[in-house]
Formats: sequence, structure tokens, C-alpha cells
Amino acid sequence: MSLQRYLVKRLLVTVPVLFGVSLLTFSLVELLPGNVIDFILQFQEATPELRAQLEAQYNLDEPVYVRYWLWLQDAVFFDFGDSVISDRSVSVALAQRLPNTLLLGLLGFIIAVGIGIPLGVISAVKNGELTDEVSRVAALLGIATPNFWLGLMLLLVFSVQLGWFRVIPPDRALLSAPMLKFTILPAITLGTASSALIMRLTRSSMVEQLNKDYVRTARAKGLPERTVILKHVLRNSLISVVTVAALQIAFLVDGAVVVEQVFSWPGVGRLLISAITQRDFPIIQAVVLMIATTIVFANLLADIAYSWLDPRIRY
Amino acid sequence: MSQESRSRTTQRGRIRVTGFNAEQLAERGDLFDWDPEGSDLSRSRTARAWRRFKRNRTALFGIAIIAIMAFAAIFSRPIVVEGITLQPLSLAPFDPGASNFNALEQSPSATHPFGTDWSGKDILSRVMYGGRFSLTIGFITVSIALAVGVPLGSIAGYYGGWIDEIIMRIVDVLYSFPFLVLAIALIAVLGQGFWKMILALVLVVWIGYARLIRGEILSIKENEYVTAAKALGARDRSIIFRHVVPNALAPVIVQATLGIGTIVLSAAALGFLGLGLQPGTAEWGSMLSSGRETLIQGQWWITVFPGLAIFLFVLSINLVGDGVRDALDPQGESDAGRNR
Amino acid sequence: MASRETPRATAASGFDDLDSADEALLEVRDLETAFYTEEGKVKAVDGISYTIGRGERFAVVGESGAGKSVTSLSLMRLIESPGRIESGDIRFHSEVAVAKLAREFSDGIATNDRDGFIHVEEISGAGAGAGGDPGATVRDRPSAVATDFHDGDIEVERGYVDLLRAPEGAMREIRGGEIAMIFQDPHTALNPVYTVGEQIAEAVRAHMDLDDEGVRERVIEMLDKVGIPDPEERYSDYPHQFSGGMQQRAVIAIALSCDPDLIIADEPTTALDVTIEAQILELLKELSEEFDVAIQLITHDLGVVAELCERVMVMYAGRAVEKADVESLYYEPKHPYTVGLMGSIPRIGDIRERLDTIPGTMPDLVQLPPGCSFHPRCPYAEEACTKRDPALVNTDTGELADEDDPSVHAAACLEYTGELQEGLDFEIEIADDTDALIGGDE
Repeated sequence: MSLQRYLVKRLLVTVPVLFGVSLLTFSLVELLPGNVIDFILQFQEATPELRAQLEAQYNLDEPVYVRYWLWLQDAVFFDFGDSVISDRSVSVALAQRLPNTLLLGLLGFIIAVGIGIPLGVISAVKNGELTDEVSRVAALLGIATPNFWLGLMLLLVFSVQLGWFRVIPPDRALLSAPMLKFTILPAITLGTASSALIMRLTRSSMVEQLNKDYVRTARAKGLPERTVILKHVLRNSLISVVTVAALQIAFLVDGAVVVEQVFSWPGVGRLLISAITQRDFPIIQAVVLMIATTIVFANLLADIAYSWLDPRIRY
Repeated sequence: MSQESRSRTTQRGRIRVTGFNAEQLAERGDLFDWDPEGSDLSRSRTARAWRRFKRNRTALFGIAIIAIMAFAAIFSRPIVVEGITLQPLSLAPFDPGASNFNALEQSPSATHPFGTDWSGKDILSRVMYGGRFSLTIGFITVSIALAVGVPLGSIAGYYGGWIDEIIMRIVDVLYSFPFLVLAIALIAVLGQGFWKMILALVLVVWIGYARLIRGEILSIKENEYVTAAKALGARDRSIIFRHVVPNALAPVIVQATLGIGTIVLSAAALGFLGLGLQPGTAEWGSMLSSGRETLIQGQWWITVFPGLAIFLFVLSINLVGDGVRDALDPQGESDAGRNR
Repeated sequence: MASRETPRATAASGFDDLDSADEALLEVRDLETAFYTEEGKVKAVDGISYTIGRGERFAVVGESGAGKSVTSLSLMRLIESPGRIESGDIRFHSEVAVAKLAREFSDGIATNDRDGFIHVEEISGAGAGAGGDPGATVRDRPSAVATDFHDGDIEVERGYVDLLRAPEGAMREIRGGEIAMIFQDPHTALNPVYTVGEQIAEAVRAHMDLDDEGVRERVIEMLDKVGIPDPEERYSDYPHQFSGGMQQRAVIAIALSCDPDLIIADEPTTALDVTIEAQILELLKELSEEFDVAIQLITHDLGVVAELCERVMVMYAGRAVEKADVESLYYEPKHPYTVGLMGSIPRIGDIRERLDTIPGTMPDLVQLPPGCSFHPRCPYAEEACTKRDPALVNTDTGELADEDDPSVHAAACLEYTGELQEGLDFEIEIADDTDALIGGDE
């Protein structure tokens, strides 16, 4: 089938998934035990104004499907009401935090891909040799290390003992030098586990490709080994690597939630955690919805990239 | 020999051979019965896989570590159920829950090899005891998730059509949420506690197994031996159990083993974030939640030892999982691999 | 496009005697290749020798596991760990290859005083001089050697390359350039992410000194030669857009693109429909004749051999058990295994109730039976067969077969050294008008 039809098909599948995601996020509140308002306000000072505000926000006197529809309508325009704690608009709170998380995520991704893919390729080519064994051990260690522990250890050694970095982020603009310097340790913490996963997958994908017949054909043509690896094998491996890189986005989000906590990084993850402990459901729902929607679109992009890479899908 | 009869044509069937009699072989004496010594290739698949696993030293090392940790966890403190003492030993030097205000925040020493925390509790004992939570959460969660995911995935894969579409849409939606974030959201709704955490984790992790086994079944379904069994009139259910499932299970087993590690890491992460068991429980992750503050004050032991325990356990489980994967499918199958 | 007239013409004029060793293109002697596996050392090729003449179509026949493919991969030095070429001698008598390699790897030219993997035996031309050491002459002035793409005053008339001693760089020149390979499954042999045209062009670029325009023209010419319609359009199509037969034609185009002297075809039609199979075989035959390319065909299908080849070698458990020209093999098979193979082919009009298959299977190459490897499955085996491993002998004389003489019909069976008591009692019947009955020995 042609590229267009493939893309249309993928888009059509995405729509019900988005609906499902919004439905699930919406129902988080529906599933709360007992009186929703009481539950949410359990740890707050439940002033009558606050109760009234929440009741209006959640349209509790309407039947379920109406509630969902109203909530959805607002959500599409980024209106999630006001936070229970700070009385500020949820979307404003999110908007303030989002760039910080995006920066951290981006740096973590660059580290993950920048280390993972080359190491995976080298490891596959030098299959069985010392370089390969060492890389695989390193990858294993990277996967087994809890990211919060790694972050704490890095803090211990480089910030507390050696004093090279601050312990909490400086109060400066996001892209200023001191802030960027601070992001080094969190980015490394975030990227490590991810790079280990990417390295493993790149390696196994390449090893699988190296056993394929077309590699034998390429060698039988008398092509230099470097061409065989970089032109023929890597290109085919990229297809699975792209899929994995897309999966990493979800993995990195999970990591960010934890890493932000370790390094007191003012991002969306930290916002989520504090919202949970305070039962600030407007924020919880907004953050969860935003994260899930982002991932749905990231997967869509990955599919598009995948279809571009593999001519068998295009034509 | 006339020249005409030698005129070559490739028309099949012109040349006939007689006198090559296979029965003559049977009539021959023992002199010609030659049997190569029983080669490995004839043993059953599970036997071969087991042999390969036993030879994998790193996997065995992993099992040893896990065994030691399980041992420490079980025998650290007595286990009493309904008044019956199942396990009387107390290997842990101190009571994991006992505060000791004379020994606050002590660095590692002879009495307290792992030091003490803010209320004087012995960290070594807590680490030993804490293994109970991590290990049980890991194994129980994976078991339940398999019990849910494998049947659902099998049904979706084998019957296809409607059922498959529905189950797969649900899977797609759940897959759009990151693992930890979804667990966190579920805990916000369910509340905190041992079984609630297990429930939240199960709800997140069953998807992976369902998807995996569905994929395996789909590819095996195409396989000819299933068609052959059907042609012979075997009933659907027997086809699934005897032909399809055994082959599809291998990657699931590998994934489940590695999954125990993922679950332990996630449970510890939730503990670290303060969303785990009751505060003060000797769970490895929760023990790290005060890590940040104590680190800055220089009490490195509070962070290092519990984290090391998590690291060791997950590392060992990964070694075992990799060993299982190598045992079930050594990297030999390739297009050009038939080098004979 | 540079023509190959000059070197070829001079070479051909010297050889009138078809039986002379000068006509040999490829000489393989005592090749041994083994694989070191978990189960033990597998001797996939255990002392194979054969000769292929220029433009000759030669078949290597046997069941799976007999070592046929390994032989070919050994020739191309494409054996990878855990495999290793243990010993042997492979001489590739191609003047084109010698000329090309002499220019680039002059250090590898053997002279009277030094060793090397390039052996120059006869040269001509203004720069040849009269000296008795052509190797030394060329070694002194490698850039004077004439090739398809370079002018020079030294022409290589005769010579060979020692394939087992050539360095990897030299082998890369030969692979695709002078010896090409076609594999069994065209679908997996082609890279799915590059166009067919590009995959052929790649080979051309690697071995021929042409500009972009020239490369494209050559590719389109090749696509046309192998019978792919609309070659200009098909250049930019991907492999999955071709049918199985067309894919194999594309693979043949890759093989042919750089004017090789030898094409090794490893079960080229096994994965194709019978009707397509006939077309591909016909194509190979035409191309072989038109371009004077020798073909080493590897197959398990005796029917394919009859269509295409002139001489045959039958392999069993890593050894050659029979060697003959096609007619002799079919009408007068000598080795019991060959007889069994031929008898096991079902035929229309067959009145037998059961197929005369060869019982049992090929032995595991890690543990071969004592004596003759075939004896457990041979209806005519006697005690002597369990004790002695038969050598490949001339079936007329009983002496060791002379590798250089292609007309010899050789078989590895004790019958032909007179050591069997009962003899082989099979018979060959040829069903035609005269209904001639041709008996087997004794």
C-alpha cells in the first residue's frame, strides 16, 4: 500500500487511542472512593469556596457521559481548571514547568542515543571480542542500577564530596550557563539506563542483520567490510532502532519523574509527585493526560519515520 | 551401446534404475549395523535448554545471589502465621523496627556494619528484612500479571477478529502511558499499601505479556504444523495447548524473568517517591527517600547500602533472565547459518 | 565501454588442445574446510579436488549437508568462524585477474626467487622482453601491465592466482569482479532497502572504472540481458516489487555485471516454481555461452544438472564420490550413491509400487562411519567397505584419478579397485524406441 494510505490508516487508529487515553485519565477521578470532593480535599483546609469551585469544575450533578464530554472539551483547549492547592490555573502551572522537563528530557535523550547507538554498532561488529564483552557488561550495569540511586551517588561524589556541582538548581533562567551546568548530572542520570537499553537493542538488531543473506551477497560482490556494515547492515537495523528510540520517550518520562525529585529540578515530574501527595487531582489529571498524549504523537512520528525507512511499507 | 540411445534429452523418465534394493540392507548381518553414539541432538528441547543453562556461569552466579538474598530475607526475623511459627530464626542482628536513641545516625562500625539511621535503627537488619518486600512484590506481581496477560493475549492472538481488536485497543491505550506514571496515577486512586501497590503494578505490567504472547501466536499460527494438526481434525483447544503455546511461551518466560527486576525497580522507585508502603517500613526504596537530605549531611551509608541491595538483586535477575534467553534460543538461527 | 578483445584473443589462440591443462580455469586440489562447533569438529569438506575449464558448466551434486555450499564459499574465502579453511590449493587461471592484481599487489607477484600469490607464466607485448622470469619482469614494472581500463605494453598471456594465499584486499577484487556468486533465495539475497538498480550499480562501481553515466548504462544493459522488461523503469524499483523469477534474474545481473570468468550458482532455482526454473536455467545457459562464463552449479536436483551442465561431481559427507561428464554419469553411473539418487526420482509411467529411496540419512559429519562413509546405506556393501576408505579412482583402470584429465570417469568405491566380491548389481534401462538395455558391471 502506498505511503499515503499507510499514514491515513495510522492516523485513523490514533484517534480511538486518544479517546481511550482521555477516557482513562478522566475516569481516575470517577474511580475515587466515596465522595470525590471529600477525598480530594482531605488534606486541605476545606473552605466552602474551595468546595464550590471544585463542584463547578467537575460538574458533579451531571451524568457521567456529560461530565466526560465537558471535561474533554475544556481539556482540548488546555483548560484544566485551577489547582486545589495554589489556586492558580493548572495550565499556567504546567506551562511554567514544561520547558524545564523538556530540556532535561532532550539532554537525556541525546546522551542515550549518542552513546547507545555507536556502542551498539561497535559491539555487534566486534561480536565476541573484549570490546563487546566490556560493553555488554557496562550495559547490564546500566540497566540494573536504579536511577534514583545513581543520581544520589552522583550527587554524593561530585556535588557533596568533590564540590564540582551544586546540590540544588540555581535560581536562574533556563538556558543560562549555571543552569545548564547543573543539568549535567541529572542528564547523565536520566540518560544512562536508556543508553544501556538502546545499546543492547542496537547490538542485537545488528547481529541479527549480520546473519542475513543480503550481507553475504554484499560480501560476495567484493565490497569493503566497512561499506557492508555501514551501508547495508546499519540501514536495516535502523528500522528497529527507531522503534526503540520512540519507546525510550516513555521510559525517559518515567526517569524524569524520579530524577527531578533527586535533583529538585522544577519540572513537570516534580509537580506530579507533590500533586499526588496532596491529592490535587486537577493537576494529576492534566499532567497524566499531557504525558500520554505526547507519547501517542511520538509513536505516530516513529511510525512515520519507520515507514520512510522501510520501502516495503511505502510501496 | 548405440549412439541413438545416447542422444541426450532432458526429458525426465527416460532413464530407469533397477537393482538398487533397499531391502538388501535389512537382510544384511550385524556387521553393517553402525550406530553413532547417542548425540545430543536427540534429547528433548527442555533437556537441552536446561543443560545450556547449567553451563552458564554468570546465570548461576545470579541465582546464587538471589538465593542468598532470599535466605537472608526469610531468616532475618521469625515468621508467625496464625500463631504457628513457620520460621523461628533471627539472623538479623537487630530488630529492623526498633529505634535506639543512643545510636542515632552512626556511621558503619563493628556493631552496626551498615550504620544506623535517624532513629537509631540498624541498617543491616533493615536491608536484610527489607528483602521480603521487594522479593515478594516482584514474584507475586509477575505471577498475577502472567495469569492475566497470557490467557488474554493467547485468546486475542489465536481467535483474532473482534476479540483481538478490542483487546489490542485496550493494550494500545494502556501502552500510551509510561510505566511508572501509570502506576503513580493508579496509586493516587487506590491509595498506598502492599496489596494496592501490587494491584497497581499488575494493572500496568500485564499488557506487556499479553502483547508478547499474542505476537508469538500470530507468527506460529502461520506455521505449517498448526495447519497440519488442523487438517488432521484436532480440536482448537488441543491445538492451542499442545502446539502453539509451548513454542510461544519461550520469549514470555524470558520477559517474565526480566520483569521481576523491572517490578522491583519500580516498587523501589515508588518507595523512594514516598508512594510506597507505610512510612518507616524497611523497604529498600523507602529507605532511600530520606537519602537526599542525609547525603548532604554526610551520612552516605543511609543511601549506599539499601541502593546496593536493589542494584545487586536487579543485576542478578538480569543475569538469570539473560541466561534463560540464551538457553532457550542460542544465537544460532540465521539465514546463512546452515553452513554445511 | 572498454572491450576485452585484446587479452582474450591472444590467450585463445594458444590453445587448440581442449584437453590441455591450459584450458583449465579453476583448479581445486585437496581442499579441506572444517567447522569447530559445540558438538565437535565438523569436516564439511574433506579433501575435494576438481577442475573447471573455461566456459565450462560444472555441477556439484549432493544432499543437504554434503558440503557443496561450503566448497563454494571456501573458493570465495567467505568462510567465517567457527569455520576455517584448513588446507588445500586453489588456482584461478584468469589472465584478467592476474593482470588486475599484478598492478595493485605487485608485492604479491611470485618470481623465480620469491614467493607470492600471483603467478605470471607467460607475457607478451613490447615491454615483455625475452627474460625467462615473467614474474620478475612484471614485478619491476607493474604499472605497465595492460588491463581493460589501463593501457600498457605488457600483456599477460597466462598465469594464475593462488586463491588461498591471496590477501583479503585481493580477494575483494576477485569477488564480484572475476568470480561471482548467485544464491538460493533471491528474496533474501537482495537488500530490501535499496533499489535493484543501485545494488547492481554498487558491484559495477566496485570493479569497473566507469563514470556515473557509464555505470547506469551498464546496469540497464545488464537488466536487459537477463530478460527484465523495461529496464530503465525497473532500475529504481525495490526488490519486493519484483516476482521471484525476476528477483533471481536481478541477482544474475549483479553476478554478470562485472564480466566474471566464473559464476558460482548455489541452488539458483530451488526456491522457484518449476516453470520459472526452466527459464532461469535457459538464461544461465545462454549467458554462459554468450559471455564465455564458466558456471559452477550447486544442486541436489539431477534434472537441473542435465539441463545445464557438461560435467558433474557427486559429493557425499564432504567427499567427492563420483566425477564424470553428464552423459556418462546418467547412462553409466558408477557409484552406488549416484545410482541410488537416480533411482529415487519418481517418474511418470513408473510401474514400481514403492519408490527406491536410499534408506537412512547422511551421517552427522562429526562422527563419520568407519571405512566408506556410505556403507551403512549401501545395498552392496561388504566387509571390506567397513575397513577401507575408498579413494577416488579411474573406473576404467582402477588407478588414482588424474585430476587434470576431464574425460576420466572416477568413482570412490572399492568395486573399481577390484576389492568387492559380489559386485554391484544394478541395471540402467533407457526407455526409447530401440529399447536398449544397458547393464551395470558384473
